[in-house]
Amino acid sequence: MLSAGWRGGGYLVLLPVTLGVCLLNGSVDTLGLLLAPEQRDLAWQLIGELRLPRVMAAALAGAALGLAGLLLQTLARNPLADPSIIGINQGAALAVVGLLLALPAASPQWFPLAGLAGGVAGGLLLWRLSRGTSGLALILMGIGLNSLLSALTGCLLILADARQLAMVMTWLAGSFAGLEAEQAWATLAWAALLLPLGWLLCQRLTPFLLDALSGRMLEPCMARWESAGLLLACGLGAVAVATAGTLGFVGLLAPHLARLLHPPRPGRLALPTMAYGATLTLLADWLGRSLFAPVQLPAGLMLALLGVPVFVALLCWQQRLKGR
Amino acid sequence: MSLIDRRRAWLPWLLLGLFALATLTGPQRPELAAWWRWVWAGGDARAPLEALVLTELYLPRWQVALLIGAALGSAGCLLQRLTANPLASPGLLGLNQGAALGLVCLLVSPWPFTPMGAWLAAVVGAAVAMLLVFGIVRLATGGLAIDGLLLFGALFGTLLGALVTLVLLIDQHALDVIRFWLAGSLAQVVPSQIGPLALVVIPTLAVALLVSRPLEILETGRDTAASLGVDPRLVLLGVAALVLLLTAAAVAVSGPILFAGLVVPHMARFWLGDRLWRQLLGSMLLGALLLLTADALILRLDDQDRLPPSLALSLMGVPWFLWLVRRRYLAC
Repeated sequence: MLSAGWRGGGYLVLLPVTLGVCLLNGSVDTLGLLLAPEQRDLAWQLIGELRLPRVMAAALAGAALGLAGLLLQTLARNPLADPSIIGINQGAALAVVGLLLALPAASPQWFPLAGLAGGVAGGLLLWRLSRGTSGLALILMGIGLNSLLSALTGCLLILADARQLAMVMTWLAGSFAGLEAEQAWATLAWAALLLPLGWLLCQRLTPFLLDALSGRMLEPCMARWESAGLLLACGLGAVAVATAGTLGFVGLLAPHLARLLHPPRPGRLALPTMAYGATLTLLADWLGRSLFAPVQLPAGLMLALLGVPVFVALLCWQQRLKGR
Repeated sequence: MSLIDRRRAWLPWLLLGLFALATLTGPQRPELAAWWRWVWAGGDARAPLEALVLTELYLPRWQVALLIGAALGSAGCLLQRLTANPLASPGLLGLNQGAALGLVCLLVSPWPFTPMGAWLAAVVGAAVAMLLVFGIVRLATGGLAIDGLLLFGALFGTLLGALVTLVLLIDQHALDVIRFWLAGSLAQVVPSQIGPLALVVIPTLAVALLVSRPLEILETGRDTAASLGVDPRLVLLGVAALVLLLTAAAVAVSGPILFAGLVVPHMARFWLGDRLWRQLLGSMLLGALLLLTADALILRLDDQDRLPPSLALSLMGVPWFLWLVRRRYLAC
């Protein structure tokens, strides 16, 4: 049996270890280079210029998606909500692809803004539609909306010329492979703004654990927090999409992992959720780039392959609990 | 009572009219008059170019659209009646992605890629997906509730789609062969595929019409059906097999075309009524007409023929789906 302190602080150990593994492990054995004194400069250059932007972007995108998932799950009072399920990621992807094709010279700094516009549009549409319905309806509508948005994205891709196509395709599958340092710094800037905001907001969301009526008694302006949280979730999802395309299932799995080990108050969950999201994404990226070594599999693909079985198990477990 | 309610007879004519409008006003419209003069003159002389365009380019495409539309529409109708839910459709239950995975596996395997082999691979893939989805839902929830089916169908659809992407990323050669097929387009269809497709689809549709009566009896309840001499398990297996055959035949030729199976049965119910054989017949006819019209409209919009007809179907089907879900769950 793990002691309470170990359970509560596990992520503080897990994240640095994963970060270290992802920074040091790769096609070149960097640890050996680091230990040999004459090649230390080369090794530092390798880590700083090639691996650091990628690892940083993966960690930040994962943390953003995890936090977005936590916000959505709390606000919707629905443990299945996730930015990739309810149309935020696909909406952002559509907007970014549209921007890429309309203005091929646009700099990567604008991707998060375009993604935010698309993500907010997708998320708000679904939020409006699912108001007053049960939790499952949100997911089902999200599945429908997602397939429409991905059909539209696919059509934009067909209309694109072949030179842009390859770049957009790898980006859409959720890959960190083609990431440039400039893009990673843009992600860092956006995440430095949005992640602390999300953490602060989570401190106010505890009343959402109760039912709507009791929550309103504790917190009079719940509607305002709800819209703020939804907007912030859209923003976080859009930042992640602008960095790495559509990464599914992080926003779903990270809050559940955190909830297994921590008390279920959103304020206490925010930090572990970010850490687990970052860890998951880093692991997926690391697996994707080292499993079939010359071929780089997108992290989004690895997440789908790993995430679906976990999600299915989660659903089965929940149904068992309900006694259906 | 006649077969068609007079007030609702306009539905297929609307589709036909749209199809004619889209085809005849397009920039590359078929020269019907030239074709007719050639046929009227006996048709044996050297055919003019306009007639060749019609017979070699348009007719095969129309035939394939009709067959695939009928197959997908009736598969959706059978699936909706089988699961007693208006939200079911082959695309949403992961069958399309299963068929796609089967095809991709055949493509990277050493076996030859023939139309018959492709169809078999698609059937096997769709069957595996169906077994997976229905089996897991049954195991997890102890029943076949539709929300579970849709949720798990979408999940396994994602998983199978990810596997397809995985195989295609590892084998670049397969991606080049199959890229256009994956979008669900009718542009890549060759005339030699029509024969096998018709050979599969038409007898299966006939069997589906025959099986509609036992299925309707089964809808009244398992015990009633058993006491009337209908074996419930046999009917379930038979209808599931029909759905698989139809979906796999359509997917093997044209790639995954979503939402035809969702929308068409509702239109057919509106047009011909609630009885199963009427709805099934209506699904066949309307499915065929709908895919034909969607293809013609998309061709009209993009005269280089790059967009798939599934775009038009998604644009129409998704709002419909959202509305159905909202109406169904609003009360709870």
